[in-house]
Amino acid sequence: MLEALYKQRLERDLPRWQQEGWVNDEQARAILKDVRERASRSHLLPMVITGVGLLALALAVAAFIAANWEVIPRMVKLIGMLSLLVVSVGGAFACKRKGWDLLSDILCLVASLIFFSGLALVGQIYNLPQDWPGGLALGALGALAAAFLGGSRMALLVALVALFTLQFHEQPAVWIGWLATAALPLAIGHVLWKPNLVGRWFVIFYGFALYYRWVAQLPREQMVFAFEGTVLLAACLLMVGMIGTWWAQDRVRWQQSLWLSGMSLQSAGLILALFVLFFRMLVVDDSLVSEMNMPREGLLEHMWSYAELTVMTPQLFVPALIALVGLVAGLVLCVRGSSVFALPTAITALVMASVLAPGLPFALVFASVFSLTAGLLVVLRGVTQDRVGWLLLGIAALCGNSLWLLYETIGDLLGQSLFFFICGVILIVVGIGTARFLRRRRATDLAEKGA
Amino acid sequence: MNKRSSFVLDALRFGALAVVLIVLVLLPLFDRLQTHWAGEPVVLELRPIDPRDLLRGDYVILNLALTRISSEDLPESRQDDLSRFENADTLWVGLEPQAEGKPAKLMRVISDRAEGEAGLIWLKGRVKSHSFSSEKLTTLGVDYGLDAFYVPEGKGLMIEDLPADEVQLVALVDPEGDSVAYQLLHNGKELVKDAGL
Repeated sequence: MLEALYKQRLERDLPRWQQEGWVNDEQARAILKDVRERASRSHLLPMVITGVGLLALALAVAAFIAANWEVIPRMVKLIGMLSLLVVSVGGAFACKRKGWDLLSDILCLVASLIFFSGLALVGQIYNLPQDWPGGLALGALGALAAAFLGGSRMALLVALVALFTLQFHEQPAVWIGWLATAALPLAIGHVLWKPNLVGRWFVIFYGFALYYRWVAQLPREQMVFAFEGTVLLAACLLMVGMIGTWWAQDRVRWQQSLWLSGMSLQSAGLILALFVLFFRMLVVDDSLVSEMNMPREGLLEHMWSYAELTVMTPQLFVPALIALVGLVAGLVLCVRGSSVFALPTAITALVMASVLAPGLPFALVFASVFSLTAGLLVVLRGVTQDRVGWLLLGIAALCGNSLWLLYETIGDLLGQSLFFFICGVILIVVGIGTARFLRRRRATDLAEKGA
Repeated sequence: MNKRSSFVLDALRFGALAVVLIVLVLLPLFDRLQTHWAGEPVVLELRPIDPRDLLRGDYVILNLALTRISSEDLPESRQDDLSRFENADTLWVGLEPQAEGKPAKLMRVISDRAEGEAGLIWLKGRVKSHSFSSEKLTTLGVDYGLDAFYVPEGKGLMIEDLPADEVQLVALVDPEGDSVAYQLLHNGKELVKDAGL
């Protein structure tokens, strides 16, 4: 889809570039030919149809096993299933050698599905005790093997779905916990090795599941930390994503995958950040303040109590440390002139500051200002980075926040006056700042062209 | 990298994948075989349950009497055994085999296998629920992993029609307490058996 959009854009731009004399007719034709060939996916059609057929075969095997057909002796069933496993892996190998990478990937997926069915079959025909965590962990291990040894993106998705499901089960065996934890860096490595959008988002969701499972291990009275944890997680994602894109700049190898991963992490961080800021506005009366008898008045005392709790709780300390290191790195990069990192750093600072909102006088006003400002900054980030998704996300956040604030303040004229006053001031400041930024960028672009 | 070495590398990778997948599929089977070789048979009572729930599809649901243990199920001197358990704890129930295929009798519940005396069969389980009915009485819900017996389609229908309280399960229990479902009995007579490969 992205290739098709790129082709449309090039078809619009090339005539102008030819008029400007930057590209001659022959070069323009060569560029268009190359892009059209890449954008056309028709050659993939037979492979996609074959792939769907193979998936149907894998489902047929699963249904056949579930039927527990008595005519076939169980040893024959077992050998049949193992043979299918070998055939699908062999097929993946043959396709890989022929250069049919997509089909090889699909066959690895088929092998993973047959492997899952095989585990179910062995459990069924040999009356093994029902063990969901063990079965899911073994299945994930097999799918991870297919992802790494077969170089399969789809098998990684199967492994991540199994591991994600595993997070909602008890994990009685120690090895299952270790596997679930080790799978995260492995999956990150895989999406850097074989970049794909779905894989990156699956990894991010799996990371969320692992983190919240860790938070769920806290004593019941400390479960209120879930909000603070989410704030720090959002800050972490934004900062790690930002550093990832910065790191990708000077790299020849892994540049594209690092940059793409950094952008996906930032997207996840922005969604989470806007969510927690909106939530903070809705529930400004801090859960921690009430539950842990923390001082409600006085910012310094409030900050100190948070710092103490954060240091004492590993579930908060680890993301807080990563986010703070990222924040310092972001500030250093901004000071050194990389203005592109100013917005994510500012959004991260706002998200982290939202935790302290209950300690401020007029807490609701501050929480609302934080939320609206973050929405605006996300809109700006979308504009400056040409990311339509971020732009829409920021606009959605601004609309949601404004509607809620209007709903809350309607009927109270002083409240409405304060709200519109703050909104007006923020919008004017942001407008002036944006105009300056764009003017400076245009001047730099012109200077580069002149040089 | 030349063509030949790239072929060898790919062959090694995919060969290793096939081996890993086959070994992982067979891994649970090795555990079962181990329990079959080292296990002792013990007859377990099944609680009467609604016959419509006895069979779901192609397997028989096993609702062991031992999945709910009350202090009063234990000998008087052992009635305090249950009070120390919490949810998710591992336990071993000490079972005394009875003559003439009668269900084994519950004698003790322990939290450490090393505490278990010889002469009893020690079945391992995991506490799923935990409740106090009165000051002294404790009831534990225990999962032994023995919750289903797979049967060929058709044969299950015959078992479904039997009164559930006349059906017993024979499980094989190895010295560590791991168990597998082995036989389904109807008043001591074999209905289905699960042996060998």
